[in-house]
Amino acid sequence: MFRLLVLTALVAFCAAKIGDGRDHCCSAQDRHIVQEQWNSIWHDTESSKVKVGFARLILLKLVALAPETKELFKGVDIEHPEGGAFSAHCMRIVSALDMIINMLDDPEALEAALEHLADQHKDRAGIKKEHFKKFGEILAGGLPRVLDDYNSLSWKSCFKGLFSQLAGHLSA
Amino acid sequence: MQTLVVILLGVVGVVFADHHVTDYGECDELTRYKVKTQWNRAYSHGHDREDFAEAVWRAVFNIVPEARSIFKRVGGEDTGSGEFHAHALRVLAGYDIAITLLDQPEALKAALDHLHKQHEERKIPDHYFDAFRTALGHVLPAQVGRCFDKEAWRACFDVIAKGIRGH
Repeated sequence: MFRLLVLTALVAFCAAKIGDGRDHCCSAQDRHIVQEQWNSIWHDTESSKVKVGFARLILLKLVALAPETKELFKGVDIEHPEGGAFSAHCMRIVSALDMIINMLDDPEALEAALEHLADQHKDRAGIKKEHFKKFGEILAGGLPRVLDDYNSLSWKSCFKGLFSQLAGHLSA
Repeated sequence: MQTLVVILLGVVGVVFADHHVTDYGECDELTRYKVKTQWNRAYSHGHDREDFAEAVWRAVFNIVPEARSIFKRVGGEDTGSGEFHAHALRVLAGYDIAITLLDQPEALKAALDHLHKQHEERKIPDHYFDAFRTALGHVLPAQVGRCFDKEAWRACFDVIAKGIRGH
């Protein structure tokens, strides 16, 4: 019973702390697990196809679930998801994820990187916080399907903070 | 007359094609695979990647100290700062995108066009790109050891730099 209480208190504390991107919920161990599991899929030379393909599926799913987002990707030719422009965009998104995941151990650098990404998204009218939430959910659903090892608690605890910071400069 | 024009056009066509080959010929399909594989190893992960990024930038600033001024806004005075690490990794991430896409020409073109736009307004002199290449040439062998293929890197780096510079 006492343990349950402690646990409940911890969860409450986590929930309160979430938002600054590096709360104790995304612990050193969590970060380590996330990095190791994420990095395990990109060793292959052919990873460009895997990376682009993975991001393409995520973005197309986002557009399917939140159709208003399609407009946002007009500039990168979402009409032709297999084309060069959209493929390059997919690569940029995977690369940004890859960058922040590999920075998890350096809070100062991570903070600066997230601020920069948050700014880049602020400038694009129409992007809403809920889109990031959706993107995070889709990612959380997709990752276990490509990763042999996927620790959902670690990922969840780290990504909640990351995504809220990415969406931090959006007004809605 | 018409035949002459046709022949002339043909010759011009051949010359252009030749020119294209001499420009990009060395960074052919197999070379691209080699560069991709070696890059994967060098780029590494986590703290190793940060160290790699910092080493590249310190080498760049050693070669062209005046280039530091471009990076004032992102903590360029202190390559060890979190702010500059974030920037150094951002740049390497852009480079990673280009290298990773070396085997997907259409996407590579789009990625390089995008990078070109991001660099255009910053008016970066050509010799800064050369300095970046030289810096990579120093740091990469330390990452990938004696398997580092200088010629392959040079050829493919030039393809990427050309795309980013726009000439």
